[in-house]
Amino acid sequence: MDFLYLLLQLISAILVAPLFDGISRKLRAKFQSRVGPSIFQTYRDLLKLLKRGRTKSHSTSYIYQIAPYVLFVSAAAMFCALPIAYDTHSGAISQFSDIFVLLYLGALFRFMFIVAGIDTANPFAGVSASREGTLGFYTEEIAVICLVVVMMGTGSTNLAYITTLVQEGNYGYAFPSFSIAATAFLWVMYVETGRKPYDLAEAEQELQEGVLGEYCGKDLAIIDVAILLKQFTMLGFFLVIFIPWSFENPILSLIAFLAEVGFLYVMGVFIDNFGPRFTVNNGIKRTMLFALSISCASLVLYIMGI
Amino acid sequence: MKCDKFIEALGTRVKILEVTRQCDDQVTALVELNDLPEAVRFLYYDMGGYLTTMVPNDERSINKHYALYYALSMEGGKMFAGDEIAQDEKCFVTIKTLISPDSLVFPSVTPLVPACVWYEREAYDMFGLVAEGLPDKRRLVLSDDWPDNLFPLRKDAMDYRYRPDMKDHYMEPEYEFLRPEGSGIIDVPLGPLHITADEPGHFRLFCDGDTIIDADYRLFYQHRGMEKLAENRMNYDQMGYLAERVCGICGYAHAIACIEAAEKAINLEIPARAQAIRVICSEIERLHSHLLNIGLACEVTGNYNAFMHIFRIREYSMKLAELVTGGRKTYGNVVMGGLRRDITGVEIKESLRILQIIETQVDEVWDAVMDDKRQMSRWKGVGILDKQVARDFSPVGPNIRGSGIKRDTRYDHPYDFFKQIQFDVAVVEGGDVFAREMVRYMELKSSVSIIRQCFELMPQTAIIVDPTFHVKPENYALAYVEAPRGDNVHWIMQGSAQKVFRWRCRAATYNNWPSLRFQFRGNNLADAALIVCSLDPCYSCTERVTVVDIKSKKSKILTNADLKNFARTQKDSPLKDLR
Repeated sequence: MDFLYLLLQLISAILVAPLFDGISRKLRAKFQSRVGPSIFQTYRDLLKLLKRGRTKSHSTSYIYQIAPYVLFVSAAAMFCALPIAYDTHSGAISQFSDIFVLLYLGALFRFMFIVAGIDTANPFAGVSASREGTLGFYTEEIAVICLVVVMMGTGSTNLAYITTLVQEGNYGYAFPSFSIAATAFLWVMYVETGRKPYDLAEAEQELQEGVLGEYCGKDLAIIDVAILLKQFTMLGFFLVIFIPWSFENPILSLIAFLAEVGFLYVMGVFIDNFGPRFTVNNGIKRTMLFALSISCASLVLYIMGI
Repeated sequence: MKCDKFIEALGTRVKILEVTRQCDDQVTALVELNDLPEAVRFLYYDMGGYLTTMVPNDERSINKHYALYYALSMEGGKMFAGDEIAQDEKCFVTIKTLISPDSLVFPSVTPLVPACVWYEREAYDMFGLVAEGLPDKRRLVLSDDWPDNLFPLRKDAMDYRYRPDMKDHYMEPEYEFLRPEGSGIIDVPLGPLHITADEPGHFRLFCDGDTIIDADYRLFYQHRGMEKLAENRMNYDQMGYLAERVCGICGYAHAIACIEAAEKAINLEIPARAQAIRVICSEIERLHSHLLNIGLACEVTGNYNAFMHIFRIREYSMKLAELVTGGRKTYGNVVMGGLRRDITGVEIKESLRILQIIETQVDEVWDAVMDDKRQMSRWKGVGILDKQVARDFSPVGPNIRGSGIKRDTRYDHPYDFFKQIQFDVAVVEGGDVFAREMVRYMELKSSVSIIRQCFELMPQTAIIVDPTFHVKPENYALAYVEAPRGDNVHWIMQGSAQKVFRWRCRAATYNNWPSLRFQFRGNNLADAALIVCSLDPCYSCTERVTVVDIKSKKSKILTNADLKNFARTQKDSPLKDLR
């Protein structure tokens, strides 16, 4: 039964994510004084891409071929690690729901993303891949510092357990270190979703295309779904720790969670629609240093014991 | 008379064989072949000239020689504020020299005046005239597999029987890029299709890490053979329509420049109302071109929001063009002796209303863009065009005005209605992308004011004079129009039977390309597309020359079979071997 709920969690996210993407595209179009596509456009895009065959250039190796699947599987596993439709009572599955599992799966996702970019031998994909790697240096330590505060505070790395603790009010915003860590963590999770001004994934005009420049057809569709899932996971990662909102009924908590994540996702338009991208050695460095100092402040507060 | 001062001074340096005057402000001095570099250098640096254009010409049927015309705009060096040459003394001085068809060699001016480099490379491609001492002798315009002994613009070339054999595209030789020496340098190709502009141009960036050390580029992938097409085939009214197809943006400026070159050569004065409407149209062109470029400069940095809003405003400028010329583009309006379409009072009233909308909305959006610190940090300090480099390479338009050099044809050599109009030349110091965009914004404002003045001062006269005239063979003249990207210069030598003998069309971007290399150096790879964009490059403008034969056949192969196949299978890129 628990496993069924887990499957439901994954499938419903895959089905609903393009809708929220469509809504954010529509909203963005309104800001840009355009009519914009229908909110179901992302479904159509994905269906169209799925119908297309796959092609591969002569300079690529097997990595190029397996990358979409590895990306999808790691993103799906990450999403499953979020305790939404299950909780601490779910036995074996809740053991899987662990902060380190998420972090390492995230690292696997990024690694595959970079390797796939470099493997195409497209110089622009290579450059973008190295930028993607650099972005990882900036975000991961901030995320880890925030999580260290949470892990030490709750004494556990199990997400299901942390969620229960925070929801029951035994641990949470009464601790300043926790609330400050929330700020930095949300920031980093936004960066991890790869949206402007931090987006490096695709269609970068500065670098002609970016990491996914060589992908097309079915492969691209799979990667797109994987990226959407990853974005949902990252926002969900923030939600399950810092704003847990679950119910007795797994279906109900799943619906609440998807609504929450979707809301955050669409609200991201207010950030990503305005202004240009950051360049790695200019904007990103500066703003991420700011986020880093917030997370350090929360760590210091924790050490001081508040 | 104008120009005499410069000819006198030139006479003290080199021996002048002959002086001819084309019109009030254009004089040609014939010098000996060996004096050519010194004569051009003297006028360029010592007397304060800028290279406007250089025209090689096959005059074997006239005087049994090839001729070179180096046209210099005498307007002062402009390295400092203030004018060095009085407003009524500014003129064009052309240095002419003759080359014997037996030797086909001339001393290169490029080592002394770097601005000549592209012109002298093109002289070889088109006429087989070898510039002795030219540091960079690679082909510029023609494709790399063009036969060695075929020079398309020679009068006796391009006989049907000379048509070269077709080559498969994978047989085409590689173009040699000038690669800087040193280890650890990575080549990053930007192109052969520029992603933002969707136009063909191959920029090879040499990077150390993320920093561009040097760049080289290969352009002219699509030649249309317009100059050859015009020769001896088209009459002057048809010429105007051909010229406006040089460019999709500044087509009107090309049409005016081309027609005015012919009008100047026969000293035809057109009615004041026609002059005013010509100015209005070219300023409308400036409106939509600058809005396009500012929008794109936002878009390539990822600021789609600003891009979309700027394009919304641009739509009004298209509407304006529709009112004035009857079409969304300002095409099909210019003929010898005037214009084809007049404006009614109702249209003027509506135009003034739209101008008001454009003015307010441009201000609103520009203020929002200026307030965006992130946008400013992407623009400021990027792609700097040094003032001295600008002096050496004679760039034009916002590109040079962004480097603090007050160079504007409308101001230096007022043509048409500009003699009666008040406007400020937009000059911004700094030379970076921001400075160039700032120039464009200021010009948007001044364009709106110029159009208003034209509507106000426009007299009620006819819009066309009786276009019966007789051109004198071998007359030539230069005409210039400040297009949105800089001055478009057309040089026409008239032939017999109301036809053109030689048409040289120099688009603004042609003068802007050679210095681009210096703008790339030291910048971040992420800014490469932005730097190219800030030049407001026009690929089709520069690519007007050459003959269609091989090239057209090749492009046919690409479009029909290869390209479709490529689109279906995504294998075997037809552009692969062009890299």
